[in-house]
Parts: sequence; C-alpha cells; structure tokens
Amino acid sequence: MDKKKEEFLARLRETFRIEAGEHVEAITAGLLAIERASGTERASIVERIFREAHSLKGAARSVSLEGVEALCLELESLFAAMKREELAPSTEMLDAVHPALGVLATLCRSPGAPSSPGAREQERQALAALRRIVRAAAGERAETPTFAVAPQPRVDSAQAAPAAPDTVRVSTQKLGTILLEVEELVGAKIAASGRAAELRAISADLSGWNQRRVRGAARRHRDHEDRAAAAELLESELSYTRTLESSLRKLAGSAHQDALALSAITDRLLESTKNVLLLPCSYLLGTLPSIVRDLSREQGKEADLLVNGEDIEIDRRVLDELKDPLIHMLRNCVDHGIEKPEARRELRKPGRGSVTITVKPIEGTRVELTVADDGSGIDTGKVTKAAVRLGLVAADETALLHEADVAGLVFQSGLSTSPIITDLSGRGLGLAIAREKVEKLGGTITVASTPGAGTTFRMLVPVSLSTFRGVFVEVAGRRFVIPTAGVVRVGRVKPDEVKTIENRQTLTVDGRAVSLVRLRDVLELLGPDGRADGASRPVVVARAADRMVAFLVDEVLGEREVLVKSLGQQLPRVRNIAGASISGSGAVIPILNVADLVESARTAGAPGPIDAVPDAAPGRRGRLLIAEDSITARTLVKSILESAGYGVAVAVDGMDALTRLKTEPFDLLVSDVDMPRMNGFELTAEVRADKKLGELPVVLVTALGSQKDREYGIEVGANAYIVKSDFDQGNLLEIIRRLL
Amino acid sequence: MQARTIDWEAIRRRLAVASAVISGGLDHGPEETRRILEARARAAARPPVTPDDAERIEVLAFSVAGETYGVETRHVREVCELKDLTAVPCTPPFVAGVMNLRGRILAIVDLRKFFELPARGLTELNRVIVLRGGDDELGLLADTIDGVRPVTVSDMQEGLPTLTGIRERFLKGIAGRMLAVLDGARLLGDADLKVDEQVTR
Repeated sequence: MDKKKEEFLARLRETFRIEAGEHVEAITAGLLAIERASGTERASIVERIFREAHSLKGAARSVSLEGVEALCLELESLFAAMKREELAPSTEMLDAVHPALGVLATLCRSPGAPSSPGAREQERQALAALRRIVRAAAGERAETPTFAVAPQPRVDSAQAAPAAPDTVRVSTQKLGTILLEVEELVGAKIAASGRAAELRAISADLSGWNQRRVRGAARRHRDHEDRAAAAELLESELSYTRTLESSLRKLAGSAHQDALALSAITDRLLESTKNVLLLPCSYLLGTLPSIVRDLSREQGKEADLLVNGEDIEIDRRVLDELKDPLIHMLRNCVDHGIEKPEARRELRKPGRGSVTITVKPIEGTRVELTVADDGSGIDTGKVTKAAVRLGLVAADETALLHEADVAGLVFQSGLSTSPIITDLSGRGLGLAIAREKVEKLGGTITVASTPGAGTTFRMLVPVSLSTFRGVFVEVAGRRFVIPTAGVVRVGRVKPDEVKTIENRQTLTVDGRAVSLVRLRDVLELLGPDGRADGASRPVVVARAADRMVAFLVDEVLGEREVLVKSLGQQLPRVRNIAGASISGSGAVIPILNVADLVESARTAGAPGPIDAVPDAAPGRRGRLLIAEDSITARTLVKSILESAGYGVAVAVDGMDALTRLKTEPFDLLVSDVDMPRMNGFELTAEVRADKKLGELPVVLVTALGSQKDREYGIEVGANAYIVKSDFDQGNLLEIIRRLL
Repeated sequence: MQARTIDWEAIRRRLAVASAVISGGLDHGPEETRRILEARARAAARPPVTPDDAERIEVLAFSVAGETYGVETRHVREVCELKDLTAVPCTPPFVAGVMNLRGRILAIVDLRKFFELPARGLTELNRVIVLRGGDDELGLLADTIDGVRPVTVSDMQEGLPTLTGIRERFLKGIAGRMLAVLDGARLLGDADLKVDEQVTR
C-alpha cells in the first residue's frame, strides 16, 4: 500500500518536474525581459511572472515540496511588490533574484530527491536573499506585512483556468516509442516493395519463356508438319502456362499496388508522427538569454540576447543536437565579438552589445538559424596567423586567401585566437564541434563577418531528422551501405585519371586533389578484389568535416532508403561502422561511418596502382564451388580458399550446387556430405553421371568419419575425402592443388 | 517369555484425556477453529525444505568443437538456428558477426576464438544460444545443444589446470563429466566481450 502511494507520488512529481521547468523558464525569461522593457510592457510582464510564481507555488504544495513552495511564496511577494510599483526592477535587485531562481530550478529538476548539506545551505541563502528584498520593499512602505500581498484566490483561479482541452500532455518518451515503432514500419515497406519486384521478375521470366516456346513451336511446326499431335500437346501446355502467366502477372500487379499503398501510408504516418514530435524553438532558446547574461557578466561585458521566430517548430531530436552548437556560437560572440562597454562607446556603439538569434523556415523542410552579434567582427589577421601556426595554411599563401576562406578557418579544430586557455574556451574546439554536429544533422554552417560591425553565423538544418538514405556498394564480395549524406558523388575512375602525389594516389574532384584508397583496405577486408580489368572502376567520393576521400569499390548497387539499427549493446562502437540495416530479404547490411572512414583512410596503407592485377586476383588459380549448409563452415572454407587465390562461389545445399554447376563453369567442387534436399554423396553421383560435368574433381568434407562412409564416398566418385574433425587448411589446400 | 499384561488403568487415563480434548475441541468457538485450521493450512502449504534445493542450478549444456560447456538457463533467452550471419569488419576475431533476430541485431560470439582455444577441425556451429540480462544480449555459437541438466553447486569443482583456455573469471565450475559451466552474467557484462573502439585520430 505504502509502496503504491510512493509510486503515485513519484509519478506526480515527474509531472510536476515538467510543469515546474516551464514555470521557472517563464519567470527567468520574464525577469530578463523586464530589464529592457518599457513601463506598460513591464507591468504586463510582472503580471505574467507573478502568475507563474503563484501557479508553481500551488503545484509544489500539491506534491509536498515545502522548499519550492517557500521560495515561490517569496517570489510571489516580490513580484506583488513590483506590481504595486513599490519595488523597481533594478539591476542589483535582479542580480540577487537570478541566483535564487537558479536554486529554484535545481530544486524543481529533481523533485523530492534528498538534498546535500551544500544544496540546503544554498536553498537557505536564496530564501534569505529574496526575503531581504521583499522586506526592504515593505520597509519602504512602512508597515504592510508581506502576507497582505498574497493574491486573491478567486480571481486567480478564474484566470488560471485550464486552457480549452484540445491539447493533451503526453510524455516525449511515449511519443518517442511510437516514433520508433513507426520507423520499424519503414522496414516492412522496404520488404513489401522488394517482394513485389521479385514477383514482377518471376512473371517477366515466365512470359519470356513462353514467348521462346511459341517461337520454337512455330519453327518445329514448319519443319515437321506431319507431327500435328506433338504440336497439339504443346499447344495445350502453352495455354496452361499462359493462364499461369496471366494470374502471376495479376498477382505481381496487386503486390505492387499493395506495396505502393503501404509505402504511402507508412510515409504519411511517419510524417505525422514526426510532426507530433516537433517542438517550438523556444524549448531550446528559452534557456539561452540567461547563458548570454552570465557569459558577458563573467567578462565584464554587457550583452542582450534577442530571439526571433521562437514559435517555429523543429524536431526535438534536432533541437537537442543544436543546443551545443548554439552555445558554442554564443560563447564565440561574447568572447570574440562583443567589445567591453568602454570600447563600444568609443566606437559610438551602444554600451550594451546585442546578439540576435533568428529562426526562419526555408522551403518547408529546412530552417535557417542565424546567430548575429554587433561586435568587432572576425579579426582576419589573427585567424590567419593562428592558421599558419597550425599548419593549415602555408605562410606564403596567406595573401591569396579570400575573406570568406579566412572566415571558414574558424571552424578548424584547434584553431584559436584566444591568448589564454580557460576550462571553457580557448582550445579552438567549440566551433569545430558546432560544425561537426550541424553536419551530422545533414545541415550546413557558414560564417560572414564585417570588420567593426559584427559576425553572423548561419546554420541551415532540416526541420526533422529525415529518413535515412544510403548508397549500397559491394566490396570483396560483401555489401555495405554508405550514408548518402556523407557522399559527395559516385562515379567511375580510369587508371589514367589517377595521379601519384607524395606516394599517395589522388584523383581530381571539383578541382581539388582527393586521395584515393581502396575501401577494402580501409575496412581491413580479405577476399577477392574487384574486377581489375584495366578499365574504369567505380568510386565513391565521401566527405566528413572538410575532408574528401575517394573510395574504390567493386560495385555500386544503387541508392535507396534504409532503416538504421544499432549493432546492439555488445558492439557499442565499432571502428568504421555506424550501424546496420536490414534488407527486404532480412539480410543484415553494415552501415559505414563516413567520419571514421575518412580518418582511417589517412592511415590505410598506400594502395598499389588501381589497374594492376594484384597477386591475389580472383580466379587466378581456378574457380571453385563450395556446397555446405552450415554458414560458419561455409564462410570459413570460403575465406581459406579465397586467400589462397581461388575464385569461390557458394551453394547452400546439393540441389543448389548442382544447378550452379550446370549453369556456370567451375574447376573443382568442395562439398559437405550431410545437407538438406540433396546430400554430398547424391551430388557427387549426379556430377559423375552428367556428360559435361563427369570429370569435375570433387572433394568431400564431412563429419562422417567411418571407414564405410569413406569407402562409399570413393564409390560414388569423390576424388578426395576429408573428415571434419581432422580438418586442416594446409591439408585442404594441398589436396586441391594436386587435383587441379 | 513374559506374558504381556494389559494396563487397563493407563488406557482408561488416555481415553479420558482424549475425550476431554474432543469435548473441549468441539467447544472452542469458530474463531479458535479458524485459527487452528489456518495454522495447519499454513504448515501444510510450506514447501518442504531440504538443503539441496537452495544450491541447485539448471544448466543448458552445449558443445563447441567437441568440448561440452554449460550456461545457467536463467541467462538463456532462446536457442535458434544460425541461418544468416553477416561479418562485421574491424571487429576482433571472436565476433563471428551479427544476425537478424526478429528485427533486432544480435552480435554472435565464437567462444573458441574468445577463449583462444586451438582450432580443431571444422564444425557446424549452426546453433545460437541467445543470452540475455537487462539490456545486454548476445549469441553464442554452438555445434549441438545437449539439453538441460540440474547441477548441484556444491558438487562443482573449481577449474582444472587442463582447462587453460577458459579464462578463469568466466568459469563457474566443472560439473559432472567435464561440463564447463560458464558464468552467464559475466559473459553478458564483461567489457572484454564488447567492442568499443574509436578510430585513432
């Protein structure tokens, strides 16, 4: 019973925490606004924050948080005094109130949590500070006790009546769960269109076959007109397969329609779910004014933050990612942009600097956030010097740099013009981090500056995290997805387009020399290298931060939407791999991490010429087929044979192997014995009975180790018999070498 | 041989006590009756306590390359067939790859490689034992699943010097005929079995 009560109280407090956060934020924002507000504006702000304090007090009482309630009571009295104009919002007074609000915010953030002695002391001091102000105001008016300013409950409850119930408060966690589930639907959508495509292919296959038969039948008809009976039989069979063909075509058609419908519904559902998760920018921007205030205080500067467009709605996940970049930019504005009041007055600027954040929607799917200050602008001289020091720019090239190039240098990691490094700034990482975060969202960030007039950072970001698209590539016989957001272009490169600069292969992309590496080297893959036939090879140019690298792949399979999954708790961070996607057929395809790839490319071994046929060219020593139903054994044998320089194909059972043997040329067969559908003995017998395949060397690899099995294997015609428990790769390679 | 005489006095005394109890028992009110019955019911409902029960664990036995291992069933979520395996580049050899387990990505671990046991022959490794604890989940490759066996904890022996391969901290003990019981919680939680690597910049 008590436990239930406790749980209930915990739930109430969680609701309180969310509500209280909003109240505290509103009060903070109001107090900041008061400083700049005119008389009438001021009255309405005071009215508003007075109500906020009152509501917070009530909410705190309902969940028995005496500390919060006491602080609110004092705030309420204080604001009431301001309402009666007995108390003017002087800077000194506000400086005393802000820390108390900070304490209140902390209390509200973890309601009911046991507090440390230090925290209790802070709470006591905050309360005392507020009381002093209230008492001083009351003293001025002589006698009125503070209680007299408590609001009339009746009036207040009327005004605080709940808004029209067309909105519901739902925790973002629940909404997040729904979003995740809707995103899973994308997987079903991809699978459905895959199935529809497969059906279409089968239907086309069948109809092609029928057409060939018709032509064949006509020819035969001419040749042997007397064989009417055979023709008739063929005719009836044809009409049957035609019926089959037509129903298959219909089925493929409806599957296609279903896939389209599912796709449309999924996309709409995903879109609306994302819409639900959009939040007004004020969620993020609300906390920033006090940050600017504190930052400028620390440096003996004065600055206000003005916000435009805080009603514009953005995906919460995007907002969360934007918080750090915005804070870094604001810090940069205050540190480097805004001058000290005296300096500003000398320049005939107002003593208080201003930083303006403007949010503006662009073409519906993107928003532009600008952070502009009216400070001194970027000191290009200092930036260039710092860049030369870092080796980013050669000393003799500085004269060639354009204004815009110099401004762009501020995003370089490690570049700082700050003479001192503090715990918070001066390391030159802030803006680099800002750019990394914005680019990770698929956005861009630029900066423009006018000497003496100010600096403007401009960020273009998506309104919501867009569906993830990827370029599918094949490397060393495996498939990978490269996030489209990190791909600059996909193309082909001819050997004569590759130049060697400082022992590195490079390619010219948009007039820039870009280093060229094999993706298989970066991913540390073994296995066959792609067709090195001297002609052009596919290449994917990727970019992370400001660096481009061209990756040689074996094949580019296309670009499409993918569902991103994490690799799970067991593989929290794998080099070069960002996650995995599940294909329509259920196969897992790793998604590559472009930032890692670009970094790894630096250390990957210098590749040989791309057109040279490497030693381990596939098929150099012959083409082998492995028939094995166990995926682990299959993979192991395949990699052993591939690293020995054989071209290797695999089959999952005897039947599969026989089909492949009849359609493709192979030099040798390595087969398991115990397999579904057709076992290795049967497969060997089939091979020996076949006119064309009869002479193909067959190596049986099996768990069956008895003398009888061995004899049976030889009897059906196997050339060699390896028992799995004695399996040894040297042994296998030696046997294959002898048989070829 | 002595003729056994019947002590009628004693019998009569006992009968008197019994009859007193019966008549008294019938007399005590419904409250008292319920109390007695409840006490009896409670006594009857108590599970029999034998020292063995507290120390018994259930172990799923499986074989890998001819060796038999076991893991407590309370860590095992399911056993499934390995149908598809995708190798993940840039991972240590013990990560055989990942598979799609009903829409989730499951990392598959090859214990032979992890314990650095000598590679012996070629085995199927077609089975996956899915271990789960909290948010952690991982799949162990196995050749065969040999069923569930009860193991008495006190009967387990400590690791034998011959089992050099298995790092001691993953071994709970040796049960019966060379059944190496692994510590499931440890396998799930151990940082050495996880891959958490950055590209060096």
